[in-house]
Amino acid sequence: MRELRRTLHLLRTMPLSLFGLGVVVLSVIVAALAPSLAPYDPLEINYSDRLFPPGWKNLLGTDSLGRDIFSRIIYGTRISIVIGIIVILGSAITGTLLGLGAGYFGGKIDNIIMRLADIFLAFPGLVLAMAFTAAMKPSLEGTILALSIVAWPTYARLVRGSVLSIKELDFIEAARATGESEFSIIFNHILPNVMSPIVIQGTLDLGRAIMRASSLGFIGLGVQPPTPEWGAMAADGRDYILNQWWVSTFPGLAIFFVVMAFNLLGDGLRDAMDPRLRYK
Amino acid sequence: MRLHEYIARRLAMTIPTLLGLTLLTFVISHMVPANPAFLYLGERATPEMLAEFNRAWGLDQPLYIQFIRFVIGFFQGDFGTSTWTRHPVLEDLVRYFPATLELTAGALAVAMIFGVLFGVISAVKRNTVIDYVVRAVSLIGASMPVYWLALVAMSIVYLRLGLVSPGRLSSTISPPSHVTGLYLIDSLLTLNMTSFADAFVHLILPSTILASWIIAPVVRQTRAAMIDSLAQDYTLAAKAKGLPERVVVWKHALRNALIPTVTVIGITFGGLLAGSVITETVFYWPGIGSYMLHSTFQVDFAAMVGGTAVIGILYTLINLVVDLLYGAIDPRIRYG
Repeated sequence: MRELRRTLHLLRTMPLSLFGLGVVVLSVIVAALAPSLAPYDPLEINYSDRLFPPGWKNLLGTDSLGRDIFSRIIYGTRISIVIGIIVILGSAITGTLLGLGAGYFGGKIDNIIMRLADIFLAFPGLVLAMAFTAAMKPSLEGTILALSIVAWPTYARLVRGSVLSIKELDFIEAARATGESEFSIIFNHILPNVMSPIVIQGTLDLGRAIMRASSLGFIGLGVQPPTPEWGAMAADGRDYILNQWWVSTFPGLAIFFVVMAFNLLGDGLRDAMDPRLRYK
Repeated sequence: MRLHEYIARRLAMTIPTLLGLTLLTFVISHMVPANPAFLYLGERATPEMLAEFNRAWGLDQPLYIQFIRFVIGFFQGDFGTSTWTRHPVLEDLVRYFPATLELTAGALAVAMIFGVLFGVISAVKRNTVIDYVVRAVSLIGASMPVYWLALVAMSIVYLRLGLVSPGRLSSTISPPSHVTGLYLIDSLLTLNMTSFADAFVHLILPSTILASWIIAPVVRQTRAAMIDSLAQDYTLAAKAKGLPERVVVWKHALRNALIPTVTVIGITFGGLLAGSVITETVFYWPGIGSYMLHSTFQVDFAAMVGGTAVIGILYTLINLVVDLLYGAIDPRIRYG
């Protein structure tokens, strides 16, 4: 935890990562306050206002059903951030628990868990997620479940590697000698020491999870209309891209900014945590 | 460890992965909510027809028997029959695969050429405006949704400027005689230069867009490795000998910096396969990705499962090749 605090302190010297952090914080605020910030109901269909260009009444224009794109993007922030956070929490917790078990107990348990991780890593993540969502029926829950299923092995591998080196250290030996239970050793002594890499990986993966969710939404295997999901909104505008460019463009820009913010923040955290880069 | 021992060990490690891959594919195929018999026979099927179908396809057998049959079929290339095209899935995949291969190979070429070029320039001009611009562009590329970039590029190049039409060839050009299914290679083999030029022009935009999916890590890796390599004794010695800067950078330093870059390209290939699914749908590119998606929307899951399995196998084999290459290039890996 002290390591994490020092990293956050170092982050203050990195303007790009700070910018990333700012955009991330802003997105979370927008997601939380969506009902107060959105000028219109994101689901309200209004045929007389179809495909209005950006203007004073509709800041970012309207889509093919006359819905206000600005309001839909604001609500879409909620969907994307929620998907990202649940996916990362779900996969990081599952992966960490399995990685702790594999690294600490070794032997057969390690072998089974890591071979299982290898199987999931034998597919490109997005392709496996596509197969899962197609099989489960595309939906918000399906997207979250599919993306969590494909993301956990990274955490299991990461944690297992760290546990292997930590469990040989003197303080673990000492804890064992004082008769502490294995449960207590794993959760009170080992887990706090593997938290930093998990946090960094999680930040980098948040951007990836949001991108993957929007890709699933775009191809029709993710969150289903009329829910204002950015990828599905960009897909809605496909047929109008030439003359009503705003329908696809603004959702695309929203994804771009949020994903870039998480990438900048994750890169900054990684650089700050890497001792070789820290002193350069 | 000798090289052949390393190869044997690495090959042996691939077998459980492939078996696991079949297990996961089997699980996915059994998660499908719809009854395959209904999908194949239609909603009006009688109970007798359903029972007959289940018997014929072994669906009345216990699960473990079904799995064993699935594994045997899998390794014989039997992924079932598509209810949409009514062809064996393998036959369809073989037909659609060359288009995907051509697209990903094109993207790989673009990513390697420009990724390495920009990485080297960025390292040589470290901390100058050029370096910042290259890094900013690669960061933007990494954060841009590939489908959106594809949409925008297509609307400008295809629709607004009317330079090319979607797909692999113009409607007025007939495909070259089938040899490999890869239009570029086939038109060269049959000396059909008109279709070669047309296929090449059609490939440029989709493969460039797909390359944007992986170009950022290639630039980043090349830049880091080049900065390292430029500070090494052998580079300084080459400089001290009075060799021109061009030779030192592109011959001495780059050659050593390329090893980690090759690995990154191997690792990102999986991303390329995933990205191709998305790119194909936007560009109406008739590859495996388009086929899988179209079948899924026709409630035909055999194609999705078969396609996923084939992509998984391909991905596993590419990782194997990259590992073997890496082991051959760098002896430290073998002994590690």
